Amino acid sequence: MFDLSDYPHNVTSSLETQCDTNQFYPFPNHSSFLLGEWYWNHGVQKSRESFSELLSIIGSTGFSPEDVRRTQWGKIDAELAKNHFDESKVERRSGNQDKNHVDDGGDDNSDAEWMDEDASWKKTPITISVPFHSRWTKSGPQTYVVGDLYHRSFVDVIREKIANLHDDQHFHYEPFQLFWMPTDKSTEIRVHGELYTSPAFLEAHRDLQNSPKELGCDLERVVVAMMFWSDVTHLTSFGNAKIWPAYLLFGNESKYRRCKPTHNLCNHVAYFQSVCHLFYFSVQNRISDDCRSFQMHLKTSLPIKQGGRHPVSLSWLTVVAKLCTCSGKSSLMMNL
Amino acid sequence: MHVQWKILLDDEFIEAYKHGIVIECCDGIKRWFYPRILTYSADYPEK
Repeated sequence: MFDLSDYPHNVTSSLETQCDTNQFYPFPNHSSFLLGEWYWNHGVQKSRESFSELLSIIGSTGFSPEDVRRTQWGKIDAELAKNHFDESKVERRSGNQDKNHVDDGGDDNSDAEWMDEDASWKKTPITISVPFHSRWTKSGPQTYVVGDLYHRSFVDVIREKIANLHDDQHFHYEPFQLFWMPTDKSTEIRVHGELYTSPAFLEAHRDLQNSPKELGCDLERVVVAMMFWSDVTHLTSFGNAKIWPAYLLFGNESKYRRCKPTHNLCNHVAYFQSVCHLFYFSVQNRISDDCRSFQMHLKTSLPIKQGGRHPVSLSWLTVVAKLCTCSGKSSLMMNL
Repeated sequence: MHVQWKILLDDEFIEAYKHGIVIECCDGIKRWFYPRILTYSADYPEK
């Protein structure tokens, strides 16, 4: 079971408390666990080595075909993929005007808490304020919940990083200047390459050391150099499915280590919602509501004959919709 | 986008930014850690 997680100690303790009867939960038995673990953790492309591992699993004396015959793999995968905020999923309509942030990250009633990597993920509603014209049915700024932001606490990520025994030996607690002397008689040449040898880090470190200390505390003070990176990521070769992750790396570590995917030094901290989706999903209902009311207004106030009603009202609705789209989009750009 | 960053830079992080957080390091020594954002490399998520 340790192989399922990067944090074996936490997994063991939480697993024991959550499931005393079945230590392979959510797998029903040892044989199913071995197969599931092989499927998920032994790479996405099968190799001869991987095939040998599979043979060793099903060829071992402890493996029971009867155990895996009735295993519900789909249900197990869903259980493994479940996050704690999925437990308390609340249906929200785009017209919801609740201004309070409901942070589900603190819920601890989850069956998936044993996956410690997921435990600190949060889901927070994104609320934006969209101003409407004074002669609109509901004039003034209106607050919309336009989606959910999936994110991690930065402080949790920092704590996790500092406590990581494997990464600690390569974590620079202090910046320094790096010089190069080609020969003994050469003049020193400043070398710029790492963040922890950069003027920015040195200045941040110097400012921190010169700032007043916390009262009654003489502990060493260290700068945690946060480096954020974000860009759209297309999920498929064909199609438009994409996500917008935000990554956090630490400048206290060497770029030569950070760039190696196998070192796992890049932390996912958020998945941004894109503006287009925010806009259309949030304001769409409001526009249609107001258009309907405007259509009613046209029907009741204008002396339009039965035959000519639709062309007039529809053209006006188009104008209204376009105006609303323009005002909504510009305000979104300002308010986001 | 700004709203989402406002969520990310929550009160917990701002408190840590201003006053630091004490974490016990792997060598058993407690230190104050002050997060500082030194780089942000990103595309603006709107075309």
